Amino acid sequence: MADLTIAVSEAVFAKTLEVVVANFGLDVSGKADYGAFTVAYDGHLFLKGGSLDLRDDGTIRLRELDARWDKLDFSLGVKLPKLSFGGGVVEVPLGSILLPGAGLFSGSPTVTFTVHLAALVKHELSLIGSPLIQHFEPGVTPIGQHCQDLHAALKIDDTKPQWRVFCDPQTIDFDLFDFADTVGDLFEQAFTAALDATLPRGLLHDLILAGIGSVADLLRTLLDIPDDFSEWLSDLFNVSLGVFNLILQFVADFFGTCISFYQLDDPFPMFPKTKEKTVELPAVTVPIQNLAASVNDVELVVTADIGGVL
Amino acid sequence: MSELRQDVVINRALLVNPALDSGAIAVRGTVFHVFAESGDHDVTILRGDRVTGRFTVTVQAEGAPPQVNLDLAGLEMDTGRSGEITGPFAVREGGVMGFTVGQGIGRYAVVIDHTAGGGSRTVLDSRGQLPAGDLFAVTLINPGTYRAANLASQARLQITVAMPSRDEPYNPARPTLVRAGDHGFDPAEAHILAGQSIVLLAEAPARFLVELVEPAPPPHAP
Repeated sequence: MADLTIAVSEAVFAKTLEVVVANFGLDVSGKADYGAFTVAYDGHLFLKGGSLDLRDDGTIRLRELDARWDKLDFSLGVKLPKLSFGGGVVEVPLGSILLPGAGLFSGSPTVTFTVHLAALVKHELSLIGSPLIQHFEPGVTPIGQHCQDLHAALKIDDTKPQWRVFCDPQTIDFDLFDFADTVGDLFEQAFTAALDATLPRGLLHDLILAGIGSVADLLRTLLDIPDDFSEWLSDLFNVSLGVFNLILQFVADFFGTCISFYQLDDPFPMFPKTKEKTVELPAVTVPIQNLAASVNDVELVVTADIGGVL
Repeated sequence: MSELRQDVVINRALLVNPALDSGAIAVRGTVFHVFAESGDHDVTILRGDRVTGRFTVTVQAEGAPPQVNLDLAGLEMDTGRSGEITGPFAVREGGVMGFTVGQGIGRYAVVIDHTAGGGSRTVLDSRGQLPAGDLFAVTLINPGTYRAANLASQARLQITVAMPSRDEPYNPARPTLVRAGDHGFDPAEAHILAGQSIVLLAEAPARFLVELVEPAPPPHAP
């Protein structure tokens, strides 16, 4: 039988969740070159809401956490095609002659524009985890800079040996990037503005548009998008850029190795240093051994053995 | 909602509308010379009185392309002050070389001498007349009414340039051929869409000048 039993109620656990969620933040950024176009993204993901259930199968369920972007800037650099006037083939008595076109742009023209997507994508996060015990040794147990910052914010003391109880995610359910259909209009507007700035409205502008059909057509052609713009963008974030996996990995690390729901100092201070009359009594600490944690539908139960009194 | 950064340089020479002269090749104009005889041809490119390029074109019966196009403005940038071009160029007998100007405001002339048997004979001096068989292509961008003149015969051709309508497909790479013989132009007038080209074929020695006579009124004008 364990020497020490600590029960953490679901209410306390939920309160801890609030703090943890309030301190969740993921910065993502990256860029990629796909030849005909380049992309770059820069975003910050945060969580809010959500609820916590302790379950009698020994797991902890976090559900319906809203994952929102307070910034998700997406830059698209489109390499314009070689647009030219004239050109073509003319048949003369001696054969065919190829006319060189009069190129509209010099060099390799690229138009880059940034669209703010934060308001257009929302995710929901749920996860099921089980308690994971870690014995933290200052200076020995690896701890990332991001976690150090969070620990400082959450007043988790990384200078003392501790037993820590994490909620180690077994399954993470995070909504894929799914942009609203209106994202296509947004990109079309941004590209139109970019073209207007590049090629002020007038004769050349009208002729170029007459040649390419429409801005939307040109954009879809340049990006090789068959149909649905929002689907293209979602695939880009989910698969090509790997942002979805990045988030999953971060969530797993955040809950599984970074933020503990419960900490217990080891050695554990049983009695503080006291002074009775002229006699000073030293602090009494006890080493904690064999820590274990289990979950039922009411509480998290932490049990441990107490070693020799120090 | 969006921010913009651009790295685009527009070829603004397309927007100005000077007369296009086969004797002074500029942006939107191209002279095509037909190499009828095999052998070496010395080509000299001039900008005003200054030689900006000099090279040899070898014309051979087989094993050479039927056409080579050369950007005279690009040539000038490549050669710098030396004027010597590495080349050599080879063209099939009966083939053509197109002399065009991709950008800038420069006006160029081409002189071609056929060297054979220790002698030399000028077969083209674009400052004068194009020989029969050569061509002058002009790309007309601003809508309006143009006049093409053959200064050698004083023949004139009216060219109407219209904006493409929204209801029909528009392809600027659809040139129109006009023959220029001793008795005038055939057809007697031409209609193209803005951004397309007219190709004037010299059936007799010719010097072509194409200029805007009357611009079309701007769209939505009262």
